[in-house]
Amino acid sequence: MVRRKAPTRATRLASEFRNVALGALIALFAPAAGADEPIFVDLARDTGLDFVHFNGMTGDFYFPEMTGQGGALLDYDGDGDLDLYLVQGGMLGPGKTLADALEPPPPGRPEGDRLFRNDLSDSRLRFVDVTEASGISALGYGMGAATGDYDGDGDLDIYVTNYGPNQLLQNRGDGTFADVTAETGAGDDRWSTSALFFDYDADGLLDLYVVNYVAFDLERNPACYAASSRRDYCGPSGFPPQADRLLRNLGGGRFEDVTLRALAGARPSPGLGAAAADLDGDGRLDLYVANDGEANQLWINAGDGGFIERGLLAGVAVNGEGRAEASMGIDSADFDGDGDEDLFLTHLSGETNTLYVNDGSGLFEDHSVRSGLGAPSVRYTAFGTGWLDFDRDGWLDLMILNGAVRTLDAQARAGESYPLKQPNQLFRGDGDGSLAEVTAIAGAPFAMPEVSRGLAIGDLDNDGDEDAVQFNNNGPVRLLINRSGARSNWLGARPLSALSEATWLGTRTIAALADGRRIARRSRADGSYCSARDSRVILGIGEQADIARLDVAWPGGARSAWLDPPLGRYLTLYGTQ
Amino acid sequence: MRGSEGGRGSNRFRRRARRVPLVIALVMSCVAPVAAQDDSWLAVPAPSVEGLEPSVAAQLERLREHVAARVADSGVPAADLGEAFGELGRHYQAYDLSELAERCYSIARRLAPEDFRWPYLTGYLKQSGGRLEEAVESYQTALGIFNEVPPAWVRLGLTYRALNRLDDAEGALRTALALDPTSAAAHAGLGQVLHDAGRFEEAVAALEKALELEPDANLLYYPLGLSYRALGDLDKAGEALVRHGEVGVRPADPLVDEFAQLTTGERVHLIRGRAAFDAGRFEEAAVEFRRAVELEPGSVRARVNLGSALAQLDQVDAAILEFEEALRIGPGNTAALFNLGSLRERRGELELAAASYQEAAGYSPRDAEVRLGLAEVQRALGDLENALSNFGKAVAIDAGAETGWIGEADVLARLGRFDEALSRLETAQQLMPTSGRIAHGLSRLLAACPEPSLRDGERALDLALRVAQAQPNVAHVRTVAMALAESGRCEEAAEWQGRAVDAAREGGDQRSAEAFEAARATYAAGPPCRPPIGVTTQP
Repeated sequence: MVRRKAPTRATRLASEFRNVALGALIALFAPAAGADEPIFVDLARDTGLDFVHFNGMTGDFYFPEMTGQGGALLDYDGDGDLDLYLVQGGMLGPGKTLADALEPPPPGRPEGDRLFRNDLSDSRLRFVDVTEASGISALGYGMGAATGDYDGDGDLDIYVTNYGPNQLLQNRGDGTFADVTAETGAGDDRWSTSALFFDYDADGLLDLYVVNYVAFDLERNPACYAASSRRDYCGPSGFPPQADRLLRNLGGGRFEDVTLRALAGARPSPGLGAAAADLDGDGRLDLYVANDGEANQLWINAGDGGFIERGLLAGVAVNGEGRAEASMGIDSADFDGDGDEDLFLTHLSGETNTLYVNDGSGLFEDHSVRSGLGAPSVRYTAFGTGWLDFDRDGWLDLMILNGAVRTLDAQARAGESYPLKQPNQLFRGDGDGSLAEVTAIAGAPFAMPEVSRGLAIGDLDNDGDEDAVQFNNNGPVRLLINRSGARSNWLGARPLSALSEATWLGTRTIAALADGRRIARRSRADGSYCSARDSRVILGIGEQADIARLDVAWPGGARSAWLDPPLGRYLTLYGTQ
Repeated sequence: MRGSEGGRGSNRFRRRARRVPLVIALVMSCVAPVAAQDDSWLAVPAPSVEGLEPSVAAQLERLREHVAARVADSGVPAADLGEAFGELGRHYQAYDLSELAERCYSIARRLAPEDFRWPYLTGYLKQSGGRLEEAVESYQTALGIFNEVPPAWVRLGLTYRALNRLDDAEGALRTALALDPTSAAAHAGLGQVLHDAGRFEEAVAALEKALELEPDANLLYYPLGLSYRALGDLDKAGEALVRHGEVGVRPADPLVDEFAQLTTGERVHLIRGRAAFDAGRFEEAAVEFRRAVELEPGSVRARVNLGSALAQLDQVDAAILEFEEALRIGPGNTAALFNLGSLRERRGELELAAASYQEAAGYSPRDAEVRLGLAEVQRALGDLENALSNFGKAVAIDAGAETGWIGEADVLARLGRFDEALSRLETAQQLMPTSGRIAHGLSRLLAACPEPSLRDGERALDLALRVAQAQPNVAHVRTVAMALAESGRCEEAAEWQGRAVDAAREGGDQRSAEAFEAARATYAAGPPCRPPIGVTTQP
């Protein structure tokens, strides 16, 4: 137990530090990678993470088969390390069986989503498939997963999005899960992609936002063609867009659909990503929805149970030229260290990925080009993405996963069976508002073209730097372990509400450094694409020796502060409701 | 998924182009035959024809064989051979076979190093593919050969901008404007560069100039709005942003625009037509879809798309013929049936429209739009029970369908089932509390329900005032008057009704003005100022 520091001002918050510094000392003394060593290495196979996504493609070009998938990083068993939920595909189409699959899975490979438990020991990762023991039976055609403690019992539950009926899996706290979709009213039978939990009405209960895409009917699979006249995958424009769903948590294990009431004027849009953050600086969680080929939506939380759409005037509905882009992935974070949340969106090839920089009042400017993120993105179709500080210098870096959605002619001519493969990218934040591409030294997983989709970032080995999970469509999952050898100091934080032992999503933890810099990180599991990340935050402080003061801005407006927090470990921060 | 450029149709620009670089093709520096020693670099790039539409495969194979024959003929001058490779490259590029196109251009450049076109098209290809630094090199090479080409300077400027080389971008775009001061694309690009550079007043001037030259290019209102926003003029920013649309501007560029003429086959025309349709360029879309129909007369998709484009152009008879032909070829196409229903409804052929919608509903029973179309026609035909059923099905499928809720309540009211009508509108209002249409329908019913026990003047007034404040039109003003009358505030009711009378007179609608005036007189006569029988809930 770490001694509690006195708050810097009078507060009635029941705040304390609780050390859960798993691996903290290990991290401090772990051997650092050499300068010429890659930043990330793939340890999936070495750690028993044996999962290969199967999209069931048959040559019929069913739209959903190239669209998934993601997964979730979560500590489902409360043992202090991150476990992994992986979403699986399957066969699509009337009457189709494995015999029709172009690339069938090996015989005996289990069907459905999988839960892998992390048996981290002495900084060694080992994953064990515990799906059957967990009682999870998720056999839908999977897209993604979201995590949150919706029932406030202190453990993380999982919401699974599918092409078809979604599932809410309630964590019973004993290593098993119960499917509570029907009794909670959280179901949705449409084609859902991303989802997120957030407490939009600040009542202490996590509400749920479900992003829906388009109405695609397998029995009416239209033929779409590339410019070359070859059959190819369709885009969303030929299908009716589907309305998203906002479910308010009523407590007692029930959700109420408040979409029409709370999101006035919401129009069905082909949604793929979403993030919930305070984007206008008023202390309330707003909502940003990324749509594929249509204007994105910025729902500003009015504080009365409703939201007002302000994307166009705020400058985030379309790019700086005024064009709606094919938005897929998203992440919101304070990348430039000015205290507000900025937005990063991933897009189709031929478009740039887009960085919207917040002026602090909720007005944004498209800085894609001047940040250096625009030009390197035009040739790729990007999906999963996430801000992370892989070198712990206090400036956020950016990981981007790519994979085409239309056939790449050169790969097709070379005989590639799934010619959508593209390499992934890593950018390092320079602290001046720009990011430099460092893909060349990022490691082998970045040099290997794959059809990547979801990305979940988190400290899997609890060594104080951020690792990542790369979810590949019709390919193996990659476990990207950070080997950057960052030696700078850090602090990890896990802010909890008084009502739950699970992370209080939306909390901002702000480190004030001696040199005047303030590093703010939002606890979140949302963003990216169809994936849920580690909701703990890591504050890397670069060359600084210590953190002068740690501020915590809790959802709802309360604040706490501590002086001289201990470094090199994860701290549990307790707030109040 | 979408075209890389959403700009105006090329024909208009072609007429405006002042300098056309095609003449460069005539400036051939090399007329000597190609040396026949190591000619492996002259291997003709060939696509895989697997999966290509047969006519496309045949076209490309024919072109490739032509080039191969020229290569085999040692007497062909290098410049002619370069022309052959370049032409093949252009066809590959037109079909988005970029790697093959680039290889062809590379060979063409080696054979005809003084031909502007091949480095220029290489630059365009690389720019489109995101290889921006390489694109700059290619454009510079092309402009080194011939520099009086405005679209090349525009594209170079836009590429510099994408690389954040704002000074270079400004220089290139100003060069383009020096060559062609009427280039809207150059003004637009310059405006965006100036915005990026934080020179917002200059950006506004450049963007407004571009809009003056191309008034339809409503995409430009967005950067214009953001520039006004940066200048702190939020009123002008708001005005510009609401005018923002999807029509962009692109440089008049015959070399690029001609790609469209190089392709064949139904599919490419469908793709191109769809892009034009989505951008609101319906005439261009109709041309492309018609070519698709000509190439594949049995294509249901081509005919449905052609019919849709014709309908957008108000060529209703021709559109109906296309939908009917599509249904003859492929019965059960929901889009054709729905569109046919809409057009017949537009022509007042309600029985036929109902039949089309009914058939569409049979094939797509969970299509809310089809249900709404069917219900509205049935209501117009007086088939209220079926209309009620289909409005109900529409809202069951899509709870956000305001028209469905209002239609259902309206039909219930027409059937005299006022309490049910009220109940449905209450439910809809709970679901959509900010919906003006729902609130208006509910306030009308509360103010003027023929069943007096269901009226609630105060609540009607509260709703009606909020709706009228948000949207002060005649219908909403009249509803306020009704609600005031129901509340016993006759003098105010007369005053509000007077506004409706004035509006009708100003609009030249004398008949409505007289009817409104009669109600106003009733209100003005004082309590009780409500007629015993009200009106339906139809807004």
